[in-house]
This record gives sequence, C-alpha cells and structure tokens, in this order.
Amino acid sequence: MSDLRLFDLGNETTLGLIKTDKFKSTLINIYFLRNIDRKEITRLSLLINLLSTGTSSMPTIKDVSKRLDELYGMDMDMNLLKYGEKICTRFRFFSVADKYIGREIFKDAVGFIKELLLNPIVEDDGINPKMIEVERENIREEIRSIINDKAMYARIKCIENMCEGEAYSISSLGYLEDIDEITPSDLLNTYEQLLSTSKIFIAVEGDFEEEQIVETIKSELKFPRETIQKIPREDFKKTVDEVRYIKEVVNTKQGKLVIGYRTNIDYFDEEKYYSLLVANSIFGGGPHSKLFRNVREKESLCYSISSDTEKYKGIMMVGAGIDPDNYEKTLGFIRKEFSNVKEGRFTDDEVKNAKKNIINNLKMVVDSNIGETDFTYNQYISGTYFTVEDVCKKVESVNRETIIKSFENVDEDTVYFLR
Amino acid sequence: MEKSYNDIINEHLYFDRQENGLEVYYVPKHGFEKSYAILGVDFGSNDLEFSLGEGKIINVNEGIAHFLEHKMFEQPDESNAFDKFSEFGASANAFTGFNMTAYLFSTTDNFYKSLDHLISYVQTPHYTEENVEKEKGIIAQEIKMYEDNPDWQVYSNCLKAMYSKNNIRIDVAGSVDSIYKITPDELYSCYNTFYNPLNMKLFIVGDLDEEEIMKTVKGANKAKPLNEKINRYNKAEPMEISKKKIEVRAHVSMPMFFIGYKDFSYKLAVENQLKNEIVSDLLFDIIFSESGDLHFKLYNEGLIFGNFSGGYVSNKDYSHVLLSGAAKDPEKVKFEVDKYIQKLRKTGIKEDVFERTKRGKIGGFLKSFDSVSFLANNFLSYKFRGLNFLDYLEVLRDVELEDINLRLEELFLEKYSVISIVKPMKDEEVGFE
Repeated sequence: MSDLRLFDLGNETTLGLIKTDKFKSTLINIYFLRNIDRKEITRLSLLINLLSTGTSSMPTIKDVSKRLDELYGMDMDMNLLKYGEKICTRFRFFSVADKYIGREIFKDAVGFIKELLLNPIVEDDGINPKMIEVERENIREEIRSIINDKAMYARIKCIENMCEGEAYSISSLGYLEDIDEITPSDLLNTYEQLLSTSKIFIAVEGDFEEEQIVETIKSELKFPRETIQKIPREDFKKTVDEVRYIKEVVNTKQGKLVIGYRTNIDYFDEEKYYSLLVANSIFGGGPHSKLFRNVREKESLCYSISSDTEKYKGIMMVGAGIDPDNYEKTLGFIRKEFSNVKEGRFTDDEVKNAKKNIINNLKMVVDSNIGETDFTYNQYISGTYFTVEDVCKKVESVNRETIIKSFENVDEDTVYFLR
Repeated sequence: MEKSYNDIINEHLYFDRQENGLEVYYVPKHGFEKSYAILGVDFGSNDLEFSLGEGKIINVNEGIAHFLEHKMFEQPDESNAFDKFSEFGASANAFTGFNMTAYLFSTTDNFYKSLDHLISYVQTPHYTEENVEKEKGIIAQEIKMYEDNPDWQVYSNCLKAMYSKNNIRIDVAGSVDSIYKITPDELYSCYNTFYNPLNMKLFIVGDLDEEEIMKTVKGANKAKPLNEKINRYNKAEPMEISKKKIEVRAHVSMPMFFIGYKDFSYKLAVENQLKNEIVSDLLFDIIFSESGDLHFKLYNEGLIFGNFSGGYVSNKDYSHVLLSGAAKDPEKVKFEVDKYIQKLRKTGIKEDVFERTKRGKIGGFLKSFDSVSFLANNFLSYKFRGLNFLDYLEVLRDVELEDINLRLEELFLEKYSVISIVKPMKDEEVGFE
C-alpha cells in the first residue's frame, strides 16, 4: 500500500496524506461524519446540492463550472454515504497532477475547495435563497426517481421495513415530506453545524511535497469548530423472532427478490468478523460462490444474484432478479445454500477461492486513488487503522471452524419481493 | 516486442504480432498491484450476415454474439472457465458490444497462469444442445432485467429512431424470441468465422515483464489463422432518420429522454477519423457543459433536471451524437437545444470558450488513464477501427477554433435528429400484499 501519514490538526480534524506517483490525478477528499438523524437528513441532502450552485466569488453554476474547466477539467462530486447509523458528507475533488501540465495547480485547486466550502452565498441569513426552489425540485426528483432502478428500490424497501424504528432505516437521500418546509435559514444552520460539530477527515493522494501540502491545507482549510458530536457504536445485535414477508406490486418485467439478515457480529471480534467475510464470499460473493454457481448457472433461475455484508450495523443482504413465477422456488434454493454454509457443507476449494477473491479485491484497492482513500477512511472511522496487508492476513487466517462459527447467529430477518 | 514511448502522456507501448496473426499490446504500469488483460474479437451484435471468402452468405439470429460470449465459458471437461480464474484469485468478466466482444480478467497474483488460461479458453469452443438450452433461461432473465431498466429503454429506442436498416437498431442481447432459436451449429459457424487470431487483439496493462508475457502468449496461442477473407454485410443505411419520435411509458418518476443527431463521418478516411472525433467531442462539451449558456438557461428555468449526459459515438458503419437527461417536457428541451445551436451557428464559437473547454478536455483525458480498464477497453476498440487511442492528446492539442466552427455546420442538424422519451405511467398503482 502507498505511504500513509496521519496528521492530527486538532479539534477532531485529521489529515491523511497518501504519497504516490502512480496516478495522473491528485485526489482531495473531505469527509464530515455525523450521527444519522431523521430531522437533519433531508437538510443535508439539500445543502450539498445548494453549495455546488455557487459561492461568494463564483455566484452561479456557470461560474463554478468555468473555474473547474480552467483548472484543467477538475472534477468534483458530493455525496451522502451511510456507514451503519452514521452519515458521512463526502466532498471529492480530482485535479490533474502538476507534472502533466507543466505548472503548479494544487494550490489553485485547494483555493477552489476553500471557496466552495468556506465561502457559500449567504443572503438574508440563509444559504443561496435564489437557487433554493430549483434545488428543492431537484431533490424531489432524486427521491422520486429511486423507483427507476428496481433492484436498488427493492433493496432500500427491504431495509426500510427490516429496520423500522432503527436509525439504520433512515434513507440517505432524504424524505419528500420534509422538502417544502426547509428554509434557506435552516440550511445555514445545518451548514454551520456540519462544519463545526462533525468529525472531519481530509485525505489527499498524489505526488507532492508533504510539508508543502500540510502547510497549504492547514492555512487554507480552517473549519470553525465547536463541541464535536459524540458518535456511539451502533446496536449490531438483533434476535429475530419471526421472518417477515413483504410483497409489492408495480408490474415489473422481472421480479426483484431481496432478503435481509442480521449477522449479530461485532467487527472488533476480528476472528468472527473476517470469517464472516469469507463465509459471505462462499455464499454469494461472486462467480465462485454457491448462489452464482447453483441458483444461476445450475438452475438457470437468474442472471444477477449476490450477497453482501454491512460492517457497522451487522447486516447481510441477498439480491436476485428472477421471473416472478419462480419466487418460491428461488427462495427455497437460496435458503438451501444458506444452510449449506451454516452447516459446513462447503469444500476446502470453496474456502480457498473465497479467500483469494477477497484478497485479490483488497489488493486492487491500492490501484485507485478513490479506493485507497476510501479504504483509509473506513479504517479511520472503524478505529482499527489496518493496512491492506493487515486485512489480507486476517482473511487468510480464517478456517473451516471459524467460518461455520461466524454464521451461527446469522439469521434471516425479512424477505421482500417486488414484482 | 516493439517498444515506443509517448512523452506527452508518459506511457510506453509494447507491440508484437504473432505468427498466427494475433496482435499483442502491452502498456507497463509500474507500482500497480493489479494487472489486466483483455482479449478482443472483431465481432459484435451488428454482425448478423457474413460470408467467408467465396462461400455462401450466412444469416444468424439476433443476439448471437452475446450468446456466444456467454457460452465461451463452458469447457469441454464440463467445468466453467471461471473455475480456474477463481483458483488463481483472478476476477474475470466479458462483454459484447455492437462491434466487439471482449474477454478479460484482472488479478494481483498468478497473472501469467491467468493469461494462459484466458487465451486457451477463448480458443476452445464447446457448445452442446444441453448447455445451449440452459443458457437461454439465464439470458432471457438478463434481457428482462434490461427491459425493466428505463435508462436502457430510452437509449435503445433512440437508436431505433435514428436507424432503419443498420443493425445497431437491434439490441445487443437480441430478444427472448430470437435467442430461443439459437443452435450449437449456428454458434460454431460464428466462432469458426470470427474467432480466429487474425481477427483478435490482446491488450495487457500492469507491472509485468514483457518477455514473460510473450513466452506465455506463445505457449497458449495455438489457434490456426483463417486465410479466407471475412465479408460482412450490413444493409445500406439511408441518410434519413427512421422515426422522429419514439415515446413509451414506464415506471419512472419524471420523463427521461435521449436526443440523437445522426452523422455520416464514419465514411471519412481512417486518417481523419481521430481528429474528427476529438473535434466532435469538444463541440459537444462547448454546447452542453454546465459552464455554457444553454445548460444555465434550462437549469434555472427548471426545464432540465440535473446535467446533460452523452457525447459523440463513432464506429465502422455508424456515427451519431447522443444527448440525454431528465425533463418534465423533453420536446420543449429539444426545441430549445435546436434553437440554441442555430443561433450558435450565426454567432460562431468564441476563442475564450474554446480554449477553456479544450483545457478541461486535456485534464479529463489525462485523468482517465488512472482507470486501467478504461484505458484497455478504449485502446482495443480504437485499434479495431485502425486508430491509436494514445494519440488522442497530441491530436487534441492541435485542434483549432476554426475546426470547431466548421464542424458545427455539419453536426447537430435538426433534419437528422430524433427524440426518444420514456414517460411515467398514466396512473401508477402501487399495492401491498
């Protein structure tokens, strides 16, 4: 893995520098971490849209976009990402590496970021009131258009139902019913809270002089800080009494089956957690998996089928696109494979292939600056600070017994079917 | 291997042509953990009618190139090509397009073994009644997955609206009906014609040893070259568009659209293709980017939701511009777009806009090299057209304002434009059981 150096900038603000000359781009990520909150989520969603429409010195989208072009096609994107019951507001900026255009552009890039994050348009005690109506409509459409991707929609609905009453069920896009009531002044409040009470992590990856970067970041990106939010661990244990079944009809051509499970595993319990990753891989983690080889290749029941795990809340999900008439049949086969893993009916080759698949994917993380920075960030919020090599070793060390044990308390919670 | 160095993008390129015709390309990427190999075949979903040398003309079922791609993974010993990749710890995949089919893998370990396997399995066809029947169920689900996807529908209909004869109007995967007609014989017929080394190219990226690469390739590359000429037949496409508008309803929240502008530069000589493409790309950015007046007006008036997407597309026998987005009234958007372009022809594009857009494109192109798969996939598909993707930046730097204004006269012609729309259902009923 490339060289990672962490700098504590005080007030729960950390700078992570990854020095490498492998890429033609320089990546700057700024992550703001908070507890997910039903009352705040739609505001955050609306806020990040609004911030990109203008700043004090670049008052319109056109001005912002022109400046990005001038900076040799600098890209930016802003997202809200869920990490368990924590919400991360991530701002990403891709600049071209100085040496490819023969001039220094890093300082200008940081200048742009400073302007965007620290100099929003504030009028009448609110953020960019002129653009709020347009952005309200955009968020409305973003939320409504979830239905366009049926597989994603089905997954979201499964989680919403499975975790009703838990913070994990909160959607990172926000809620339609909130939109009209949010005022520019509410957004100014959210903006101030975001910058002053979130845990902040700044990641920079590229080919640079370390001292220079630290100085530039320290002097240009000074966030106003107050009492930082305490972010507690999620409740990752859940005993399932009875499996819930939900069916929704929208008349699709292909049915979307989603199954949600509780893993009841604490990621700090390394042996259990890394064994779970391998167990999941054997179950449905790729073309080497039971779900792919049996439910797809052998039974021809689907084209896409896979399983994945969520680290912080202790959740596992299976998703499959099937003919609506094959619902019972497919559910039966998935359950059969699930119990095969639980009861140890898998070969040594399956274990080997699963490990190889995970380790291969992990090692590839360092070949992308996006991959590396997000991996680093994930480790930082987990409080584990492992390198890719560390994680590979832990995956390699699991065995048949630990794999079976990890699935012991994995229980089916909710079956959702969209047709 | 022959070695060349491109100092503008700081990349080396190695090249070798094997005795049996297979071309091998290698771009070293020092310090990268993962290596990537992609084997491309000059055969796609557009190739539905062909003959070999003086032989008779063969017509095949729609979706056959894609079906063949799926079946390639079957091995004579009843195993699946994925099995060996899993054993080596490599991630494998394949895809089919209108003009090319490709088989690829990426791995951080056992690269040479995986490369040997890649070449071997693609050179080993194995189609039986049983394994062909089984695949029909899987591909039928894949087709239905796309049919449920409004992004796919709106795009697909745009091509149908522009083209009345060119096979590009037919979906890559075919239809459930057409694939059920496919037989092992038909698959062998396609394989024996197109899957020969003279018609294939291999592209490799990673931190590797070129001698080791060549040793592995020589060891695995056993196929015999086909010395007869492949004749491909694609019905002549008239200049006129097929249908001005195609509109369907689906479960979407807001109408989605794809506007297409048919173009005819695919007829240009090969040596002019790359520059034409770059000029067209730049022109697209100038007109539709967020830094332009058109997007600004439409966005602020609430006429368009989000950004425009799209670009210029060109290959052997088709070229067009695609412009997509979401809007409450897509036809009004098209009207405004056409009006704007008409006006732009009168005023001409200004130097400062051109320079700024060009700069953005230079940065964008450079950054795209950070994606190994983007580099490899593009390199291959450009090579099959007789172009070198690595020349892009050099040609881009030499483009002048005059080139752009000239191109504006012949591209984005309203006469050759179409619109495909996907609208929400009339009365959406969502029920819970």
